Amino acid sequence: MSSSHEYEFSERENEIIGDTGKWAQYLAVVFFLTAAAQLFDGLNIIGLAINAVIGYAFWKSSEALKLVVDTEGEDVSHLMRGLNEMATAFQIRTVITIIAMVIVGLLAGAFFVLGPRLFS
Amino acid sequence: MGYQYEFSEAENGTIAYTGGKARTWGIIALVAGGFCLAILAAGLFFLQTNTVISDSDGNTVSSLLLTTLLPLGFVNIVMGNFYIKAGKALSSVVETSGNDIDHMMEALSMFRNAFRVEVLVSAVVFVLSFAAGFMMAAAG
Repeated sequence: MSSSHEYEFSERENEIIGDTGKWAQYLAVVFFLTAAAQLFDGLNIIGLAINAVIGYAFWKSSEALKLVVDTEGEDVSHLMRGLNEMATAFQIRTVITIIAMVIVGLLAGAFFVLGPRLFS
Repeated sequence: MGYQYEFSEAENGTIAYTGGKARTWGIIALVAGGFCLAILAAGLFFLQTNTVISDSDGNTVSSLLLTTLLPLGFVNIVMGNFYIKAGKALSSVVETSGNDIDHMMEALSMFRNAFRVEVLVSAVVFVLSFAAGFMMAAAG
């Protein structure tokens, strides 16, 4: 019988989980810094909010992954929480990137059509 | 032979969900990378063939396209590959039995690689942006 309360990750597995958590935390900091930079970009509230939310999801994920390494008895539960937070970040990024590609595509199309007139 | 843990049905649900989101994001990142390179190629072709645009304007726009879209395109393609591999490994956790932990570790390693690429590239971009801002401010 296997229960989430019984499995403890080995030292080697903890190393991989801890390392992933560490880099997820660094990535969260990157998103927070990007959000902060948007304060100076004409107070870009939408960009600030999106980056802050994605950063927060990665931060929560990294905290859960760290708990897998630092605590005993709930390893799998913490791992599941970490994965869930990651999924949230991926979902937001997917939607935002699709919207950005549509906008950039339209702008690029407009540039190719109107470009010569703008430069002449 | 050591004890092989099998994730429960509820845990498999979370793993499959995350795997699906990771794979979708990976595909979108790959497409975005290809999109950046396609716009770069189209832009450069447009500037080369359009005689209305002056050489200095053309060079400025070419440099701008090359310094932004080329690295952005490649980083997205590399990163997208890692996320797709991570998503596949998470799917393997759910679809196979006997090696759940190994597949999970493979997925986490791929996530770590993707995060690492993003962080390191972002650090370079931050440093270059600050340097460019500083030089522009110094130039008045």
